[in-house]
Amino acid sequence: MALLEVKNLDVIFKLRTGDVKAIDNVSFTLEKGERLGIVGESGAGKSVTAFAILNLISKPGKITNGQVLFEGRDLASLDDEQIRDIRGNQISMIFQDPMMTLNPVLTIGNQMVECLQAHRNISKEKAKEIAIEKLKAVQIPSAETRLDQYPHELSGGMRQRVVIAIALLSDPAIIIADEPTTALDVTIQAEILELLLNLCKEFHVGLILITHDLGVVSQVTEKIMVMYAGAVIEQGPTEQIIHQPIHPYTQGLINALPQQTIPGQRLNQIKGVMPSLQDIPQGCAFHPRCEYRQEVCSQQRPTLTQYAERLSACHFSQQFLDK
Amino acid sequence: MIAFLIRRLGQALVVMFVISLLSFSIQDELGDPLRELVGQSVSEETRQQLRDELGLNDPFLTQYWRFLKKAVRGDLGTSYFFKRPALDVILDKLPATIDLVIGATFWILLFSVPVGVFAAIRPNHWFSKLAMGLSIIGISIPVFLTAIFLIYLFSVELGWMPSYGRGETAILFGDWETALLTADGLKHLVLPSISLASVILPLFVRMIRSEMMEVLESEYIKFAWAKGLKRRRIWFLHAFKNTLLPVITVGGVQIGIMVAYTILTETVFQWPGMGFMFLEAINRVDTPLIVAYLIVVGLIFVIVNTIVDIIYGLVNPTVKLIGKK
Amino acid sequence: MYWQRIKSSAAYYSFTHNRVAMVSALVVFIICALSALAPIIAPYDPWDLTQFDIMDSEIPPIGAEQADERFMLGTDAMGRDMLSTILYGTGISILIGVFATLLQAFIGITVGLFAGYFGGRLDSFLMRVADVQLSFTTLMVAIVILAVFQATVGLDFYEDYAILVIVLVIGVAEWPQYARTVRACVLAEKEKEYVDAARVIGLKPLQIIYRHILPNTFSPLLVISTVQVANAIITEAALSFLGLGMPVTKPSLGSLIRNGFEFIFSGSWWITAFPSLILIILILSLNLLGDWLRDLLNPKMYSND
Repeated sequence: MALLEVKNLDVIFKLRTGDVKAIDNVSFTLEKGERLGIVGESGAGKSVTAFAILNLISKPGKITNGQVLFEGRDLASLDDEQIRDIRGNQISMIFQDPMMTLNPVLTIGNQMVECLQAHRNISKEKAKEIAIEKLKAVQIPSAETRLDQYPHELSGGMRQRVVIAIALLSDPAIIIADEPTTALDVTIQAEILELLLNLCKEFHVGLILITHDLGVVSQVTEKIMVMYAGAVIEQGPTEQIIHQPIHPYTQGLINALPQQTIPGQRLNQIKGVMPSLQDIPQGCAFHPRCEYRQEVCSQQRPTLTQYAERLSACHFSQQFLDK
Repeated sequence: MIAFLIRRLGQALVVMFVISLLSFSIQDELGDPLRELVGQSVSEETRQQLRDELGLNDPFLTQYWRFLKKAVRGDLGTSYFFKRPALDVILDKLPATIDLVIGATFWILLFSVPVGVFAAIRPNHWFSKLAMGLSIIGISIPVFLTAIFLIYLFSVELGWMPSYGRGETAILFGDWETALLTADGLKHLVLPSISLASVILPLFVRMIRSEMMEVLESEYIKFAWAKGLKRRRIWFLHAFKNTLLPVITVGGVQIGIMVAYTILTETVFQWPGMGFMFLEAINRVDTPLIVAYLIVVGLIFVIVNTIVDIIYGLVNPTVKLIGKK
Repeated sequence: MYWQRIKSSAAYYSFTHNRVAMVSALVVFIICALSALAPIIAPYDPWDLTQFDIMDSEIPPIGAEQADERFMLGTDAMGRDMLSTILYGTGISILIGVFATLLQAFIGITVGLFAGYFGGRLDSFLMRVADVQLSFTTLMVAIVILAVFQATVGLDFYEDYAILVIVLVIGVAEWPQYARTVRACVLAEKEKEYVDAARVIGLKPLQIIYRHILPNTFSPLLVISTVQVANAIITEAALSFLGLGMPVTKPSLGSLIRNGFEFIFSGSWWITAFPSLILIILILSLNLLGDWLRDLLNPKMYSND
C-alpha cells in the first residue's frame, strides 16, 4: 500500500457565473520517502491539488469526487478534528511567499510552540527545545535567540527556513511544498532547494514539490506529474519525462527552459496562453496551442493512457515514444 | 520609546498651537470685550483709552502671545454669562460628559467585538445577517433621532426611564462628581449612553467584521490552518490580533467623533455636560467659554490620539517605538 | 447601442438580481423626484408666510381625530402644511447633500492626485493635515464655523445665505475622505507600466494625472460618493437640529425635526415623525446603495491555482 494515494479527485468551485472544475480526475501515489513534482502553469490546478490533499480548499471550492488515502484512511471524509490532527503533524505544508506565511504579530517561538502543542501533550519548555533543534536543522544561526524575534526581523530566505523548520516540527511523513522558492532571490533559491532535498533524504520524508519550473523538479524529485487546465497530461519517472517527453505540452515546457536555448536566441516559449478554466476548449485542452494538432484533437479528448512506466494524455504519444 | 514619545509630543504641541491660534482668532472676531465691561454709556474717547490700557489696540501677535501666556497658566478668560473663570465652568461640566462617554464606550466594547468577530467567522449565519442589517439601519439613523425615539418610547409612552437630566451623583476623590456610582445616576445614563453609542457601535461592528474577514483570507491564516491549529486559536489569537491593529487606529478617530456627538446627545437629554454648555454658550455669544471649550476639546483629542498611537505601537511589533516609525 | 452595453455589464446583472439595490435606487429616485417637483405638486408654498394661518396650528394628520382634510400630514405649530413643508425640506436637504459632496470631491480629488503623484514632502504634509482635520470630525468643525459665522454676521443676513454657507462648511470639512481614497489609488496606479509609458513619451504630469490616472480612480470614488451624500445630509440635519443649520423659515428635514421636538411631549408627534421617517428612509437607501456598489466593485477574486 502506498503512503498516499490520490484517486480520481475532482474539485469544483461554485462561482456566481457557474461551476468551474478546478481539478479534473487527478490520481497519483506517493511512497514513503518518495519525492514527487507537480508541474504546470499558474491556474493549472497544482495548488488546488495540494490544498485538496489536506482538505484545505476554501469556501466556493469543494471536493466533489474521489479519495485521498493516507495510510489507508480517506482524508476527504475525516471530520474536522481528525483532519486537524493530520495537518502539520503527519502531513505539513510550505507556502510560496515566506513574507506572508508567518503571522506578523506573533513571535517565531510562539508560532513554533503552538504547532507542537496542537498535536502533542507537551510542555512549553520541551516544545522550545524541539523548536531550537529544528531551527538548527535548517541551518539558522543563533537559533535560540530567534524564538523571541518577530518575522519582520528576519530576511526572506531566513523566514522560509523558519517555515521549513515549522513543517519539520512533528517529523511528518509528507511535506507539501507549494512553490517554496518562487518568491526568493535566485541565489537563495538554490540554497533553500538543496536544504529541502537534504532534509527529506535525511529524515526520510516524502515530498510533493509544486512548481512551474521544470528545471527545479528535475533536480529534486523522482517522479513528475504535469498538469494542464486542471487535468494530468503526463506522469512518470523524472529521468524519462525530462529526456523523452511524450506529450507536446511537456516538450514545450522543456524546450522553454533557458538551458535548452542557444545563447543569443529567443527563449522557445509555448505560443498562446492556457485557457481559463471557465472555457476549456473541446477535445484536447491543449490543442489550440499545439504544433502537432490534427483534426481529431479538436473533437476527441485524449484519455490518460499507460505507456510502460508512464502515463500521457495525447493521441500521438505512441508516435513520440517510437521516435 | 522615549524618542517616539518626544516625536509624538512635538506633533501634539504643533496641533495645540494651531488650535489655540484658531480659538484666539475666534475670540478676536466675536464680540467686543469693552461692551461686556463698561456697557454702552461710555464716550468714544474713554473707550479708546480703555482699549489702549487693555492692550486691545496692540498688534494681533502681541495679543495672541498674551493670550497664550495666560492660557498656559490655565487662565482662559471669564465667562460673560457665569461671571466665573471659563476653565472652572468647563471643569464643572466635564465629569458629566465623561460619564456619558464611559457609558457609550461600555456598550461599544460589550457588543462590537463579539458581534463583529462572529459576523466575520460565520458570515452566512442568520445572526450575522441580522447584525449587518441592523448595523446599516443604525448608521442611517442620526443620533438625535435615536435619542428622540428612545425618549418617546421609554419615557413618554412607557414611563420606564427618566427623559432628561443626570440624576443623583456621587463624589469621588474629593471633588469629581460622577453618576456612575448611584442607581439613580445609572438609570439616567442608560438612554443617553445608548443614543451616543447608536452610531459608533454599528460602525465598529462593520469595521471589525470587514477587517477580520480580510485577515481570514490572508496567507498566514491559511498557513495556520495547514499547521493543524485549533480553530479557536486561529480565530481569537492569529486573526483577532491582526484585526485589532486597524481597529485601534480608526477607533481613536471614533472617540473624537463621539465627543462631537455628545453635543447632540446632551442637547436632546438636557444632560448637564460640556456639549450642552457649549451650545448654550454659542446662543449667548459667550466667547470666552466657546474658546475655552475648543481648547479643552482640542486637548482631549490630542491626548486621546497620542494614547492610541502608543497602544498601536505596543500591539504592533513592526512599529519600533525607538527611533523612527 | 449604449443600452446594449449597459444590459450586458456585470453591474446591470448584479443590480437586477439584487432586490435591496433595486428597491433602494427606486426609493432614492422617488424621493428626489418628488422633492424636485415640490413647487408643482405641493398643495401649499411653505416659504410664503401668507399661505398659512396660525389658527390651523398642530392639526393632526388624516386618520386621527380632529384631522383636517386640507392637511394630509397635519400642520406644524405655525399652521404650515406638513406635506408641503416636507417636500420642500427634503429638496433642501438633498441639494445641500449633493453640492457639499461635489465640493468635497473637487477639493479632495485635487489634493489626493497631487499628493499621490508628486509624493515626498508635499504628500506627507497634506496627509498630516488630512489626519488632523479628520480627527476633529466634520460635525465639530462645522458647529464651530457656523456658530462663529452666525454670531459675526447676525441672524438675518445668515438666513439669506444659509444654504451656501452650509454647503461650503460641509464641503470643506470632509475633503480628507476623498483625498485619502484618491491618493491610495494614485499610488497604486503610479506603479503600473502605462504611467511610465506615458511619461516616457513626454506627456506632462498634469496630462498624465488627468487623462490616465483620474479615470482609474472612478470606481472607488463612486462608492464613497454615495455614502458621502448620505453623511452630508446627516451632518446638515444634525446642524439644523442644533439650530445652526437651515432657519425655520426655509426648513430642511433637520430644522423640521428640531421644530417638532418640543411638541413631542404634548402629543403632537407628527411634526417630528414624518420628517424623521423621510430622513431615515433616504439615508438608509443611500447607504444600502453604497454597500451594494462596494460589494460590486470589490469582487473577491478566487484564484484557481
